[in-house]
Amino acid sequence: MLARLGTHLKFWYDATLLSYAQILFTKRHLTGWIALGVTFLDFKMGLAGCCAVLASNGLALLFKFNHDTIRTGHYGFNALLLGLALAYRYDLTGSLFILILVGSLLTLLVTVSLTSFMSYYVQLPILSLPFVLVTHLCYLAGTSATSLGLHPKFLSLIGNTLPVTVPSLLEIFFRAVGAILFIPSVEAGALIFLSLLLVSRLLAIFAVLGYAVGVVFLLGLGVAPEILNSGMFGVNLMLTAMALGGVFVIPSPWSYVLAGTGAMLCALMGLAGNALLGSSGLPLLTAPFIMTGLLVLYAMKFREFSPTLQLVTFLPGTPEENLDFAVTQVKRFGSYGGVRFSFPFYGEWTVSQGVHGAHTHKGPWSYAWDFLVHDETGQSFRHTGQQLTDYYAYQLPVLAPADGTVVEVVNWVEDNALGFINTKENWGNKVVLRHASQTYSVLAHLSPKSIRVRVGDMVRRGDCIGLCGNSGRSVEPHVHFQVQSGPDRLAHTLAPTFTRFLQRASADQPLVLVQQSGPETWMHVQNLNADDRLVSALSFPIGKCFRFQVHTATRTWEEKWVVTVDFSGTLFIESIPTGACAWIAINEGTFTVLSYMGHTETALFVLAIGASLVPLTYTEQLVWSDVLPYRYFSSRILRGAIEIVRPLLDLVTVDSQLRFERFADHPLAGGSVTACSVSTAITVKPVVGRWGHRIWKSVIVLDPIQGPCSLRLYAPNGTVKIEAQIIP
Amino acid sequence: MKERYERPIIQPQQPYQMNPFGRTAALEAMTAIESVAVSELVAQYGSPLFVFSERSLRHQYRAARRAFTVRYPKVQFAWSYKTNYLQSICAVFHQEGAWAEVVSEFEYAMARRQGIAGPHIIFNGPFKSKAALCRAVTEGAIINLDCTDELETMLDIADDLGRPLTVGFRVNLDAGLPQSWNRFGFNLENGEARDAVRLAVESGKLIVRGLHCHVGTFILDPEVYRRQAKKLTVFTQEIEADFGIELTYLDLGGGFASTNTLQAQYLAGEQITPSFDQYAEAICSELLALQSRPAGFPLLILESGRALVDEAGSLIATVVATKPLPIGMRGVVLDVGLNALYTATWYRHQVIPAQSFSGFMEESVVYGPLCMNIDVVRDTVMLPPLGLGDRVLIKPVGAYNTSQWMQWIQARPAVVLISEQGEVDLIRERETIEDLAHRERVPSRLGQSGAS
Ligand SMILES: Cc1ncc(COP(=O)(O)O)c(C=O)c1O
Repeated sequence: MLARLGTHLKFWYDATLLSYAQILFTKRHLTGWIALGVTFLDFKMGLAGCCAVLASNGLALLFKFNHDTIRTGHYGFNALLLGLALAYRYDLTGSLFILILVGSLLTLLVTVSLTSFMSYYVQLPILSLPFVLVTHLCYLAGTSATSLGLHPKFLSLIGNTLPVTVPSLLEIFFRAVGAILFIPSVEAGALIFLSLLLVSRLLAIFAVLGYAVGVVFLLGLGVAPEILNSGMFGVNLMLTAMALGGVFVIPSPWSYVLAGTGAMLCALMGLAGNALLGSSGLPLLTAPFIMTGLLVLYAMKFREFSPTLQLVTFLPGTPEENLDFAVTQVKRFGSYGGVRFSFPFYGEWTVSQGVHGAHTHKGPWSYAWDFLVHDETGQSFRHTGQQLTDYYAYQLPVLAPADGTVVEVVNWVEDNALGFINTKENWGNKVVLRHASQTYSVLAHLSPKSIRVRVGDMVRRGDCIGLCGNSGRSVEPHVHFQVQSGPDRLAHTLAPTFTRFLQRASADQPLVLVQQSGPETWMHVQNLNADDRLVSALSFPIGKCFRFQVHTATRTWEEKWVVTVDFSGTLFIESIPTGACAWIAINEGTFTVLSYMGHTETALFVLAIGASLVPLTYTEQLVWSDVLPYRYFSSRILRGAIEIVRPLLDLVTVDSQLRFERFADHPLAGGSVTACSVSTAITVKPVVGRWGHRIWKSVIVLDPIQGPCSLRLYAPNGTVKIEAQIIP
Repeated sequence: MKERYERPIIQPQQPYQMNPFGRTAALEAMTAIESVAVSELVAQYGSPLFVFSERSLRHQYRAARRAFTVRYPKVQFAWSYKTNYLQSICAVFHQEGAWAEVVSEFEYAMARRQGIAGPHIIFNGPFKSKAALCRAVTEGAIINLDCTDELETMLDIADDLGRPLTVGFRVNLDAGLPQSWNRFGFNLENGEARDAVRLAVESGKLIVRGLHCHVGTFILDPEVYRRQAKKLTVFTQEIEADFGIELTYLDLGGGFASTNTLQAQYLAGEQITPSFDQYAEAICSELLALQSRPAGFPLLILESGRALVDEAGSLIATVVATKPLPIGMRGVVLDVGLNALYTATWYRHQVIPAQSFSGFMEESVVYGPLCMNIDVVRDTVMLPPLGLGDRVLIKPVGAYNTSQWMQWIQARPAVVLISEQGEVDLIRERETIEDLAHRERVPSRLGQSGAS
């Protein structure tokens, strides 16, 4: 009973405070508390805001809208703004509260509909659009509602609670900030700004930047300075810069430029809007910000891919969080989201000609690879190499590099005798596959009559489509592979992204796991082939539960992991009762933790950092590396400093080195001999100097039957920080 | 330097006759193994001496692995312990990634002692006691059942443990060999194998996870493997469909030929032994038919023994006597024979002088030191005149000898391993009488005559 009550209270606590926090683009309770406090600087405003939030969230709950969405404050923040706007304009009467209640309902309905519409058709956030629409409706309606006394403060910000002195720059700025919550006082502004500083320095910087650029721009246009005192002009400038600088765009030097430019566009819209609406008596509210923001974000979707200015394609957090996620993501998974290709063969082959190859991979056909098989001595044939059959690659299976459809097959060109080439039929026997729009692959020089697929067939990654031959422009048996933009031979080649693969420079060197990029000439490469036992050790079937006994130096608890799948089809593990979550992916031979959310004292955290990337093939001597978000490994103050400069310069990196320990009777395996373990060294490294250089370690024992059965994290001083043991 | 005496010889002319010893005409002395001089090896470790080349071990293993991995996506070699269970030799293969294949409780313990975890041990063989099976079950080994009695024992163990156990079945089949090995496992053609699988499945206590089939040894025809792989593929599809099971591995056993030459073989091994690629092509092109299974390909396990290790081993021996034989051939007596070279009964090993020689080749019989008529290393071989104290190399001898050797009339010789960098390590000391004697217990009433 008490527990039920507890979860209810927690729900309302989250939903309410986060509605306040959302207004400042954050998801922190702290921001929520401060914003809530600020509204109560004026009791009427505070009360109205609160009522609106509670009404909207309560109605959402009553109508059974998604529980988790309500909890994020998504259904509350527009209503909050509406409540503030109404209280700002009207006297404190019973009618005001009726209007707030009805307005909140309307806001909720608009929010729900707009969210669905915008995310489905244009993939854009709704921002405070419902607030603007409903407020205008209410104001318009309010003109004929006589019981709503007009509150005199509406027309001008100056001449408000403080007596007008010569407004210093700071004062103007803080008042403008305060106007975000319709309390244009210096105290309110200062408090809100402080809360920004506490949660995200970058947001604060963008707010200042937007305001400054906007103001200078307006003054430059010769606009009278009074306009800054009217309504939410400053707020629009700030919100625009925050949104475009770091909330919906990954922070970078260019995003500062975008933030400034955005502020200017917003100022322009504001001026135009004022001119348009001035006579109607309707305030602009946040309309200039919404219009600028949506316009810029929407237009940016149609650029060609470019590493500068990237949109936030995931659930946005603070600019710091967005940047961290993006940087880590790019380092870990590459920036290209298209088809990932496997090598079109079994086992280890050698690249005899890579990208921009010396022989034929030139110009528009640069992105191509020739593969053949070498023995230990680096020869591609046995005996004397005078017969095609002496060549190791000859007649080996050639595989589909990804799922696709067969669009062309040539299957009749004779294999050349050694030393001859066929320049008439350049590709010889070939298969062209379509994988996605503008993504085709070509496999060429196959053996005549060896091709087993026909045009129109669907093939799966790894299906055998033919045998390696020596047809076409080929001096010795090999496979030519390229990805191109169209089905015909004139299409230019593309730089494909490969799935992770194993590589070494020669047969006597240890294998290296390559995360992205294609292999270079003379590299020996192979696909990762999943090993049944590791697959079952790291398989997290939906619905499966794991229970752990977890210890730290000071605490002991039982942690439960539940495997679920989210709306986008991504698997995630939820840790109960810690609330932490880890999103995972298991594909093409690797287990990956995509991201982790939650605090750093959970067993799940150890999995997330200690097994962030595991090739599902047990390879002794293989050492591989990964990049982890630095935020788990630095103190709050250091983190703050790092984060401020991070859009310009990465001061700290966190790399991890992982390897398998031999399958054996592992002491941590608790009598199970069927286990192998992944041991990880995590190095926190400043870019300059050695200050703050630390190494964390972890060991995770993987059991094919039980899964990750024992997890340990060692702090840099060598002590066990977290230890978890599975409860069978 | 004193010139060496050359004994005169008389040889009958044999015109128009094919010469099966054609190769020996080009016989050249081999004075070093992996660039380490034979004389040095003998000086340090004595004679006779087994010498293994790590480079060759790794080379063969990698060649075999490459041949299969470029043709099939899931390949695992398991080192067949019986072929050679010197710990260092096993360690080389394990380092290269091989699991262990054992055929007795004794070998099982050996693999465990070597640090191999249960799941990486394949437990075969016609005699597995209940205790041995119990251990293997709890340690997660892969167990291939050999007969119905063993199946019953497994059912008992499953009852005892109160949980289902995973098993594989050894099957035997006709792959076109003159005599097929049908004494191991369940016969495929007569339906015995299918019945065994049904019994296991219907019991509800056994989960059938694989099939094992070792068709024989020293198989010179890759087509035998093609037929074996084909039959196993078809059988797999059949039992999977009929019994709703899903196999995770197919173990095709060993049996690939080394470059040795069988006694009955006309042409020399080096000329006719198929490459790993030929074997692999035969096997994998059949197994690729399993691609359409929902579970994808099963793991292909190979237990090749002699083909991986034979080449790497040489035996240095010393001529202890030469005698004229009444049949007109020369008798050469070495300090090692069948006691340490059991495979001489199978193979015509090469016997190569380890020092430069001159003079005419002579048809010779090479004997070992045992005072038994059977102790013949080669019953006929062309050799140059050899003198007392001369060394010869016998090769390849890496497979089966250092496991089947005996302490009979002579103690077992030492074994060295030459690393890839050319360092020589003693991996097994020459045995002494103590090795034999310390296991014996002489009753006190007889004690006086024995050593104290
Ligand atoms: C079951 C089994 N596997 C593997 C082998 C190894 O055979 P080979 O040395 O011929 O490769 C043998 C030898 O007889 C065997 O019986």
